[in-house]
Amino acid sequence: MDTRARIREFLVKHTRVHDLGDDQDIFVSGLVNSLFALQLVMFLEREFEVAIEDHDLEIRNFHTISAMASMLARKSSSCTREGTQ
Amino acid sequence: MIPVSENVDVRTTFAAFARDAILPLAWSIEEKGALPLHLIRALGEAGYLGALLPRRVGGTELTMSEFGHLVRELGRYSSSIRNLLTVHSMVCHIVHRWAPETQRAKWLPPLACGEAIGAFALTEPNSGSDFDRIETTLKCDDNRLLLSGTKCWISCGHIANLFLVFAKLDGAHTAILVPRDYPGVVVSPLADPLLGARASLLASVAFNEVPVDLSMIVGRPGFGKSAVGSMALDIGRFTVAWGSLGLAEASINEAMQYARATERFGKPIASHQLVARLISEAVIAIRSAESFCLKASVLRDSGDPTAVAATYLAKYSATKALATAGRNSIEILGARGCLDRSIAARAYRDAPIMELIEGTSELCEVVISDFALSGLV
Repeated sequence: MDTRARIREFLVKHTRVHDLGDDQDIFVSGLVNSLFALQLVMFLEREFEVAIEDHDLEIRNFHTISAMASMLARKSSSCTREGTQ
Repeated sequence: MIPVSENVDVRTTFAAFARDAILPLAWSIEEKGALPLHLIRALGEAGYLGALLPRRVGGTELTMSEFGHLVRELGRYSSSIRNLLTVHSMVCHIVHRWAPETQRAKWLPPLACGEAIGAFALTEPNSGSDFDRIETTLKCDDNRLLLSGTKCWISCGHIANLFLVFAKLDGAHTAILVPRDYPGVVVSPLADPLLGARASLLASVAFNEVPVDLSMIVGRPGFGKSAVGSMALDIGRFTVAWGSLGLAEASINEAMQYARATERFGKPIASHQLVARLISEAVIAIRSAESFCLKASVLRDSGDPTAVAATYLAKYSATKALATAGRNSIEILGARGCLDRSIAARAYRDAPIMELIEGTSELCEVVISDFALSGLV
């Protein structure tokens, strides 16, 4: 299952919205609340083995499935570069 | 449900510390409404104030399972001491997790050893459970960033050196670290005695145009409620759950000991059927809460996001178990249970407070229902 699909699976479970688009703003559309944000951070860290850091805390990194996938790709790429240095 | 690995030695150590250091002072703490400085120092020296912090900054780096058992033992003898550990650990965890490196370097070592005590400053006169209604603001004024507002019911406000304050910056929820000694910070200890957890050291804290700067912000503007506040309160709920469990156990144990040893109408009180019901009702509630607490610990240690839901269940069930244990213990003990210094009386007094803090029972019910509808519990 690719990154977006895995994120979508998690979001569908929590929002109970089954036709969630990759670019649907989950915060503006009122689908999620502050408590969910905590669970989302925990999910992303565990599922994708990354550490969400304070500089990652921008709405633009979390507001859509696409945004989260892009953030994860950047973090993964950053780790790979550090590993080969 | 039993955790895969239980470090029994650690639990024995926690129990011994609580019994030797806190039990002798348990009544005095409540009677005077004060936490002895030497006890706070002892908690620091034992590594318990840095329980959730990494060893490289002077912390003890306990697992959540170990931390839960520590809080259980401390809460067994004093909800006030448990309160200190709760709010201090909330601040420690958030500073470690979300503060910028400069703030971490500055605050984590003194927080770890207890040289600095942290307090969680969210509640306001017009905003209790309703986080969105906070009125404390961060405003730019002539190239300065000023913090203005009033927080109330702040646990350990009497002694805190560092406040984790929740405000709004241009309408966006923002969390910021504010040292007590900054100009414009005015701490007013609450004079009225509390119903229970009497040494919670509650205070109002006014922030009168306190000059702060962006480097003191924790997380990012806009994430003060979600990433910072929610995460801190999650830790708080976890500790209230375990601490309530410990006190509930102590309360019913006191009652059972009395019921075994005391005869009425020709037989031990414990042998009377209606007393048996009081005991079993409390024990069932306590053991159910224990299973929720244990599950929450295991899920937290594995980083499972369902730990959030599990912690809500643990907090709700443990605080309700404390209320049942306190009430039933008093009924079993009779007049002895009505003495202020009895464990049963302490449990009875502390229970309503435990149900209120870090998310009221009513809020927990709403949230748990939502989790259930999502298939998360």
